[in-house]
Amino acid sequence: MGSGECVLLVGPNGSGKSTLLRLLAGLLEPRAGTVSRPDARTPGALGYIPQRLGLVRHATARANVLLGAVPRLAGWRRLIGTFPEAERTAAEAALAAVGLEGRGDDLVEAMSGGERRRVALARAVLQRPRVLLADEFLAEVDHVTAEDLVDLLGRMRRETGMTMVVADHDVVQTARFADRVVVVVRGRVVDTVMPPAVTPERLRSLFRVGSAA
Amino acid sequence: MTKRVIAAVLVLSGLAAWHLDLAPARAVRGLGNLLPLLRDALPPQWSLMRVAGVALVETLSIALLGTVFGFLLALPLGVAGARTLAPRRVFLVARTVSAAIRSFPSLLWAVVFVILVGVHPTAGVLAMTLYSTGHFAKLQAEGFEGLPAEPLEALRASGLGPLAIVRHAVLPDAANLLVSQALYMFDYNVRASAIVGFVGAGGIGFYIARYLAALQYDGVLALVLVVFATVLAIDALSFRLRARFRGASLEL
Repeated sequence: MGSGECVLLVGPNGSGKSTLLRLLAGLLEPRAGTVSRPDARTPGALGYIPQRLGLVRHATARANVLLGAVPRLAGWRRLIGTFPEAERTAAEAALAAVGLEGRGDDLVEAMSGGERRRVALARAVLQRPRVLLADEFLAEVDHVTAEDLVDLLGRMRRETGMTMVVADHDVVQTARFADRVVVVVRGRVVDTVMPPAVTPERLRSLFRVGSAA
Repeated sequence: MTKRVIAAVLVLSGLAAWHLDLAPARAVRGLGNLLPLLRDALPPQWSLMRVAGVALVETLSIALLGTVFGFLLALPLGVAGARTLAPRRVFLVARTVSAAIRSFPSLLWAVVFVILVGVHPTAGVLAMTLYSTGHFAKLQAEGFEGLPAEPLEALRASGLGPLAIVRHAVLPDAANLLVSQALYMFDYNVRASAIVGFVGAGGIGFYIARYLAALQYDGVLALVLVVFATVLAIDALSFRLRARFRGASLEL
């Protein structure tokens, strides 16, 4: 993948999208072959939004956003958890950027699915990773919210130039801002398509071809 | 299946009764002693209330310190004893240590510490601390294991080490649970602290044992009633506190 590129992973359920992302995130070790991740060892270089977002449910939105700044904290601050004023200001700005201005004190467990996704995005905004991995980011949200979230992702990408790998099946939505759409079926890449060519019909036929192979 | 389980319980109970040479006749005859006992115990010796009050404060202090120290000592053991947080070897060692501590009843810890530090509330605090550490470690480890794994993975992917993950994802997510466990343990420790006094580890138990030995059952009843009232009060208090913490965020 090139730096700053945005790749969309699509495929039927159980095709290996999540596994691929977890390999990239360094949470799984490959049984064969290697995963090459430049500067993955640098704290904060990689952002990962898991399928159910990985937010701390009993904490506030602000506390969750501030998690993005933890990798930057110096040793003792990292363990005690005191954030410099600049990071606190940046966290408020990140909340505002995703449309959650003034909602910092709300508990994540009391927020809607769309709002939680915004919190996860704000966390990524604050972290400013070089690579952002997002798993089924648009699953379980309505169409309008999905459109908003895709706009946010697109803006984040333009403003930060971060590399993104997004796994999803709401392809028509996400395809708008991807450079490449990689189709995964049964753990194998069966095709790579450029966004203009992505249509539900095309994907359906690819999913079928992959299953038959 | 159900029939077999019931049959097995019946057979085992029968064997246990046979082993103990259980004597229903003894129990029936014993009922006859109830009246003289009540006559001795009633009315309770209310004049003891001042002594009981002072001793009770000592018991509550022992319970509080034992709970606080136990809670803090248990945290590292709890983290190390959670399958989801610690490598297998660490986990096995932590679980073994906490099980070993738990296998001593609180009274036995009290005897050990009275031998080590003498007849003094310090022995009670040390006994309750160790006892609570063993139980907290188990409760906390199981609580941590029940937390969702995704927040931990998100932080691990961003390059954070285990301690930072515990600090920023595990503790905040478990905070309400930990408070709830601590209140439960305090409630339990008040009753256990009353018992450790029997062997000279401080608190109201010391007086209960003395009056029991002197066969002054009206004194014993007065003291036990004080413990009973305290347990009821703590029960009500901890219910309210737990309700307050539920749904609140405890940001560390």
